[in-house]
Amino acid sequence: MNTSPRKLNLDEWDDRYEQLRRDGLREAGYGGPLRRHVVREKDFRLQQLQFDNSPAALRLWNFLLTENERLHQARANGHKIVGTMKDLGTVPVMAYALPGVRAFYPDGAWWTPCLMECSDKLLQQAEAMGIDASFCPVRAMLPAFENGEHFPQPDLLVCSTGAVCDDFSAIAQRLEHLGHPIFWWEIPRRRQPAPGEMACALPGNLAAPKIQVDCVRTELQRIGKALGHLAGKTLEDDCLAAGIRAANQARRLLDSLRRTVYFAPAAPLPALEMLVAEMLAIHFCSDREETIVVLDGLLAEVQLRVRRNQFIVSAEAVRIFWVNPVADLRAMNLLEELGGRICGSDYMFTHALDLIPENLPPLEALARTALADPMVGPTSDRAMRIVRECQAGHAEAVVVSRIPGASHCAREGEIIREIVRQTIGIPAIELEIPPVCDALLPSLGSRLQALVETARDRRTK
Amino acid sequence: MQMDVFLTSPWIPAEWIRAHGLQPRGIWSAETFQHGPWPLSAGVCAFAEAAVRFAEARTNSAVIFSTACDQLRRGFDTAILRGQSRAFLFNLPATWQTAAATQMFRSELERLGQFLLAIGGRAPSPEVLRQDLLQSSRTRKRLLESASASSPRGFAEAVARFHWDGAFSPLQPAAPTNHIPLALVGGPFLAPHWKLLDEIEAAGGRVALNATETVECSLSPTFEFEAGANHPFDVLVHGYWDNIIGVFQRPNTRLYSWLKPRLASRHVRGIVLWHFTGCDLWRAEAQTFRETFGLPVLLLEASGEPGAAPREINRLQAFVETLR
Amino acid sequence: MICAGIDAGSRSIKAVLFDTDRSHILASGLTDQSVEQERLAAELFEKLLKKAGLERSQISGVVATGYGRNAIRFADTTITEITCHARGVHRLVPDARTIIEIGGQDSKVISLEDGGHVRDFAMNDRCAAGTGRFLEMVAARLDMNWEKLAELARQSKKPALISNMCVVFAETEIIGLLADGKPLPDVVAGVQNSIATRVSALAGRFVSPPVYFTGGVALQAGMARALEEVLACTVRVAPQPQFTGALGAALSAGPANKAGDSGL
Repeated sequence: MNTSPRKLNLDEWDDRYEQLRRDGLREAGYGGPLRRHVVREKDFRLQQLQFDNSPAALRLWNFLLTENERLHQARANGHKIVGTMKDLGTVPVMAYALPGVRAFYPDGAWWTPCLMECSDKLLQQAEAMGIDASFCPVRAMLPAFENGEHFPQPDLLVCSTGAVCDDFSAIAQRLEHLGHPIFWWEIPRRRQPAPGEMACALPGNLAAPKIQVDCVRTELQRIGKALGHLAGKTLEDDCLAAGIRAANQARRLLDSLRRTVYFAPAAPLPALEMLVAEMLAIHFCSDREETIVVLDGLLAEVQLRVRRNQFIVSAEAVRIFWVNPVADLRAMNLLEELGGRICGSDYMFTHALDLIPENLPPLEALARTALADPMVGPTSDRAMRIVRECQAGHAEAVVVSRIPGASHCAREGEIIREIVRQTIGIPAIELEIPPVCDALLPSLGSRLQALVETARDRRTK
Repeated sequence: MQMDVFLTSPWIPAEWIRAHGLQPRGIWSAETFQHGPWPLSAGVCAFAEAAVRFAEARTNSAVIFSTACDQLRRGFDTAILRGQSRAFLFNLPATWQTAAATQMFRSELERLGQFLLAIGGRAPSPEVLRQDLLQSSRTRKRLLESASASSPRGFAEAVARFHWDGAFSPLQPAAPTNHIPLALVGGPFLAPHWKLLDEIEAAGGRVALNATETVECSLSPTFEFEAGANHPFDVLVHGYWDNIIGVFQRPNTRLYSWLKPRLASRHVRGIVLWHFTGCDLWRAEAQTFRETFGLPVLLLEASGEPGAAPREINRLQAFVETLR
Repeated sequence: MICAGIDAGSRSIKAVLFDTDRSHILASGLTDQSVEQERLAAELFEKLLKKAGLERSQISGVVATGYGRNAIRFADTTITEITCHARGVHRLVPDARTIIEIGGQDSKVISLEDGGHVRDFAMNDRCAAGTGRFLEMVAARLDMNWEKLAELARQSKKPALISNMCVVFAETEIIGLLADGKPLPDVVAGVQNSIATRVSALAGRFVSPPVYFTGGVALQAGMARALEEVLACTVRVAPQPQFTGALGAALSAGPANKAGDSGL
């Protein structure tokens, strides 16, 4: 049955699901109606969201929302679970290169208060544990570790430190003080090579001094030993190289998806699904093979829509480049309701979207990739990449989304906006979006609407 | 006249700056280092903002930022964007238990040395460095020996003087008192904050341990020349690296190891956790302090707003009363 | 063609009838804001029609803006205050390049390009400091009206430093200053400076002259001067500053803007 692309609320998805089932929908083992996540896991926020109506999107959502189950199942099957914190894309590649090891991001618990509309009480519990609302919503992971109601306790916790945001670092340190040993590894603040200094090219058109790459490589070697010890198998170069190739397969698919969606004349997939899809890059939602299947399905769907000129957000929508992920998923719907569409994104892990070099020794390649993290270098580097991608996506405006309490947001928004203003002169605003933004919807809506109006008005000048 | 090189952290070796013929100054000791009141963007630390503005205003001096916190790291980015060309970002490793971290610290000192030469410093002489390390060691030791016996304000002033020009100010022993001994632990403690020490005294407390970043903790580097020829640079590296007591370190167990015996030996009955608004690294330790040391903890924020002083004093008075 | 603009702000509702053919304001008015804002807006609208000798049927379009715009259901469409103030100010003073609008509970800085198009903007709508609300609080605390406040500020010789960023704590600080014998004019001038300082932080580095000040707070004598001091440039009060938003809304209902309207 050929159904035009549109957005559905949860009630409509119930009907749609029944129809798809009648039409012979084939699903993965984790498939099922979206509503079951509301009933079973209390993901109440789904009732406020609008979703894409494709089977590919359904698979994406079910994949995201069953991660905890998957991790518990992996534990039951005797797999080792590695909690990889903060680096957003590097250590999981190493973990998945070993048989019987799964990696996940405890940081991802930051979306739990949103999804459960704070019924999880994780943020309140974090406050009782000494980490209050002046910290980022990632603080939700603290009680999640303690109460064991979400993800299983990892067998190994690995966390990057150094050039990382303070509040995350503080939360992770608190976690360790609570009795969860952490394998800390240093990621130095990336700098430009000095004149005459040996330099290395990094993904994303960046460069770093060789001395910094060597430092990170040494750290990754240490991590590799720890992972190997956990898996009972040395992480050899050929295994790691195979892991890199597999990770790159996912990254290539994501790259194609982003180009197809962001560069299309109108949006064939909503911003919300694109945000979720991009998140798969950082740790494959605990199943690397399935990530590839999910991304493949999404790509096929959007390619079909583009060929058929079927879009979910009209070509009239203002093209917005979005910076930083949102604590409340509802915000991505809001943007499109108010006449915007995403034409590019930087959700803080662009280094997990770039291909890992396959023509270098694997640890060297990963070290360079890790150093290409946009959060690890000067904000101006990040801003310049945003500028380049704005130009590529013909962005008409930029939204820098602040994460409440996140220390990097204090300054970087101003720097990014200044550089965007100076180089390409498009309007750029900052919005702070808390885990449940209902009370702020009028204010957020006003700002987004004003931005859309401003951009539209500039079209006629 | 020697160029001033302002340091935003006591873990950037002042001795290394002096060895290059330049004048190191703890930025927090500068009389003109003010932290507001400015309307700060949400989440911006007033100390980091003050460092940025200080750097912006003093383009004839150099300012060394450190990566110890996100605020200063990104403050450096802002300073560069605003045109300060004599700013340097010193990569201070957070990890400290690996050879790689030690090597990184050493490499950064070498890189800092190149920067200092580029801004007009001279190549360091090992003998000059050696003498300066010995002198610095003596001064630090003397200050530390007088920590528990001198008045809190006198001690804070003396340490600030040391970080300003390396000098030792003789300290008068404080009169014995039955005031309740407190520890003041946390971020940078600047001259405008010293009156809090007086307020604590007036309320019946006494800061028996000032473990803020820029006071007693900051004196911990020690320089030991073993029999035989240690190169002074090696002594400098290890003198600092092996003794940094930082909340930013991962794990930050050194901080706790350093605090524990001192809290006990000075009979501290309560901890005032002092931090700038927006400083997550210190704020997050409050509960761990309570759990580890079994002491009540009062959180006190330096917002940069003079108008907040009555509220701060009120809190201190209430804290001392409860301890009494 | 006659168009109407309604600016449903947090403290008052303003309306303008604008003749697009002759390019002038036919009538303007305001009323205090309250819970039944649609009714109040409708009454104000009717009042203006009567004043201008017009019937509803003669109005080609009605655009609502402001905080309460979505409640004005008889409007044909809604547009944000950013766009409306930009259009309104540009119509009155085409040379404007930066607009500062301080309303009852928010403040905005709008950067304009040639032609009056909005280039960029910043808004503070989450904190009362830097808004008219601060002045209202002070007026209430001192038991005086808006005009008296302005008169006092004019007499100041040395404005007090109000260092608290939060309006609630600032109130206590003000009481303390008065208790310490600080002259009242200096305290009031200090409040104006505090608001101006907050707005300057919002403006950041994108203030380009000519700078125009609009919104209800622009009517308070001394505020423009306070802004000039912190921004270090001339700040002029826009003509009819209370009505620039409503004027911009009316202009947006006109034919020249219909194609470019967001029409949301």
